[in-house]
Amino acid sequence: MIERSQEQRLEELHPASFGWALQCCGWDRQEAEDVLQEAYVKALDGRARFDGRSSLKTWLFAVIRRTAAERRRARWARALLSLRWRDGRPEGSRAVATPEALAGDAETARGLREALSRLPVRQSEVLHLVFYQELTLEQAAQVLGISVGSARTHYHRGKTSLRERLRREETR
Amino acid sequence: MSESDPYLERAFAALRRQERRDGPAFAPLWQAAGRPRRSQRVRHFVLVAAAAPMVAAALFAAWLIRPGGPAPPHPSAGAPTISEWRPATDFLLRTPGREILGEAPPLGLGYSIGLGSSGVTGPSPSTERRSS
Repeated sequence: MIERSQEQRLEELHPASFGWALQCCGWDRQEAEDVLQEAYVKALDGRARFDGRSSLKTWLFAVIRRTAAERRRARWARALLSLRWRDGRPEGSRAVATPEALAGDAETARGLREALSRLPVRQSEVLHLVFYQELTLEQAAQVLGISVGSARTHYHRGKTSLRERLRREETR
Repeated sequence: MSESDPYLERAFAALRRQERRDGPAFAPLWQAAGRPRRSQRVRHFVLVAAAAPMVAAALFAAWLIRPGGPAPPHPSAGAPTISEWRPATDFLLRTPGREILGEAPPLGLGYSIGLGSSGVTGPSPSTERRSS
């Protein structure tokens, strides 16, 4: 169960957690909210237990990622069973949401989301954790459950690929 | 961070600012997470409904096999004992002359077995030889 101090820490982490949930759900806002709520449910009913082996942020991010993957798998299974496919892809796959027309960051954010969604998932996740969440590669590897070496490879390949895509977008 | 990359850092900072501006508040999500959801309640009901007949069957089985409970009837109850039992094909063995076959012949006596006047009577040759 969650103690009061941990609840306060979760509240502090909430904006970052939502950003990570968005990344894990392909920027589907509704799905990200559901995933985050389900992660909180797991924390409250003890299905996900923080044992202090890592930081609370790393643990929570791992729970969010696992929850998003579980929901994605369940959705795919349902889509397979009902044979409901949309545009050749399972329902709820990495669809990039149209950003609100806000001045300033909106255009950059849209371009980045699009470029990230075209990267392999692991590369996109590592880049998000390092640049957006400002985690170290070691912490990112912990969240993703992979080795630091593997995380470093994804990081370098992803960074090169993302920079190229963003430059290409800019010159277009 | 591993290496600084101002270009990507700026881009991610813009994304972070935008998403945090539009993100949901913590309290409603947290409170909703604390409430048991409808799907959970339905799942509990289905579990209980499925488990109830199994529990009832287990209790009934336990009552049946409890010590001092009603003993089930023995499968051989009402069947004849082995000395009383006669096979259904017994009549086939009731052939003419089976009385003779069923007992040992007295020593020193001959038999007349339905041969009329020319029948063999008197002691058998082996008996004669022994007496002389």
